Amino acid sequence: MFVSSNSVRLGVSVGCPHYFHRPLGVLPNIEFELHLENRVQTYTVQVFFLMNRLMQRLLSLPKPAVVVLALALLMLIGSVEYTTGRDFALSAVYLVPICWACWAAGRGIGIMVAIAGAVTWFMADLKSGFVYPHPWIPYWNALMLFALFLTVVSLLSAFQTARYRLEETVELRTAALQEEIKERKRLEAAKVQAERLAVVGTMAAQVAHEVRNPLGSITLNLDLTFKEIDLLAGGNGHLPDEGRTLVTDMRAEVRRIQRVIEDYLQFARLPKVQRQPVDLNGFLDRKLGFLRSELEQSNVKLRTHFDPALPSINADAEQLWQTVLNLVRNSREAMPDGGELIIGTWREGARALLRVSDNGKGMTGEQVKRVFEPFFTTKKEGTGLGLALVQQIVTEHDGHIECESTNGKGSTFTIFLPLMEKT
Amino acid sequence: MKELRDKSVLIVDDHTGMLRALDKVLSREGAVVTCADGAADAVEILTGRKKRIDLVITDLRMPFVTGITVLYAIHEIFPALPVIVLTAFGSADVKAECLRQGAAAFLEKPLDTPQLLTAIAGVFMSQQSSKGKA
Repeated sequence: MFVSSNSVRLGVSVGCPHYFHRPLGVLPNIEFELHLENRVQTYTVQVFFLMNRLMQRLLSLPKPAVVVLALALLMLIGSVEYTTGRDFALSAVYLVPICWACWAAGRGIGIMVAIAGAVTWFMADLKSGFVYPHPWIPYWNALMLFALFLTVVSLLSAFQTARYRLEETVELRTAALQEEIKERKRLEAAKVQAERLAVVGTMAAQVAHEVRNPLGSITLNLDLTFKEIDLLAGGNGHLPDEGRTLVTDMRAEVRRIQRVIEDYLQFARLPKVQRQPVDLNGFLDRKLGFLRSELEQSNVKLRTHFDPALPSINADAEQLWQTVLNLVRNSREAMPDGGELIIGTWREGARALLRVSDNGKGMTGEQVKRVFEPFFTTKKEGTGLGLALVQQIVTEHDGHIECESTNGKGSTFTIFLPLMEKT
Repeated sequence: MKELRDKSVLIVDDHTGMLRALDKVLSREGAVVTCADGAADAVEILTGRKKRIDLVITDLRMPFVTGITVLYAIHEIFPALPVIVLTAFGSADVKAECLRQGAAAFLEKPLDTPQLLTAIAGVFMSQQSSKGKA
């Protein structure tokens, strides 16, 4: 339907705001068409949208503003009531500012505005000059009106409280559900990874058998070759440089193949976790003692922070040491020119935290995301299995591991392990 | 290596390359080496009593009869004969089983000559000390 005017056409159409997930039925839109020198410009005012926004604004006003506006509205209604006289019933309109104040500013303000509403009505009634059969009747009427307002305020406030409680419960349940989904996803991913790695272990054992046999004879034959060259050179221990270099290079290559196989074999070797109470601090202190001189040779300064209040954990000490050793090895390789390695323990609720931190090369965000993936490596000669093994061991201990890293500044690995339950 | 001089060593391995390399390394140290390319061959040499054997070095994974069976058989028939297990891959469980069956040492390939000789010397030394005690 359009109403024509000289240059503006005004109309009402029906529509549904696109931002609602389900149609709310037929809603009125007001449309303007501006005709300006052969140009037609159409404006659509979505009434529901505007009303919705207005309601949101009104309900989110600060308390003092609500009080002032509600009282002003009451005064306006009172004035209209006085002007229009007794015959024109307006009592129900008082509920508008009262309900609004109650919803936007709470029950206390609602009751206060209800009192003000009843008083306003009483004043307007008094000013109208109507003579009641009994002088107490207007007082009684005002009291009844106040009782009605109070009932509405109480019901509204009870409804609002119930709504908040419901929202709170839904929020809490949603958060719990999200946490559960996250945990299940993590467990699922860990299971898939464990299965993949078990396959790696089985294959590695087979391949190792096939490769290490020839490697065994190559190693022994290299030793024999070394001696043969020595004999040819006159047996005085002065090997020709070229012969020495060749044999040394071959030995280094054999060692490299051996290292790669060792990385794969870690998964095949991983025995079932044998847990027993472990004093993490004492255990780490003892074991790290053996690494100190090796680290110092690489110009890596080792610092430790052990939480003295950390209770024991239930773990397979040897496997746990394998994880620390892997992390330390990575840190050392990330600091080829030396640096600082910090190993610490903390208690966080019912969990023990073991943190290995370095100020080495660090990693990019993309690398951090993939760091525990099997076969992913940032090293030139890595197999990408070290951290996958670490994660596997930690998962088997019912824990998890996190990595934080800043490219060029260093990396931090934190292992979360459950503390022993008190019996 | 003086511990190996004139000692008779039986090597059991289905890989001829490994057999040959071990043979040469040990022969150079003065040992008298006998090679067997399988468990059956090894048992025949041992039970034939044609030769005195002082030490057995056996692989684990071999066709038909495994090294563990060889180890078990030797331990039953010749309890005093030291056996070194030299395998390409053995898990912790396999290692424990070998030692339980009486293996004198458990070594993994690849290993270089000094490692092999040190292990053999260790076996002979512990054998001598146990004889001394007896």
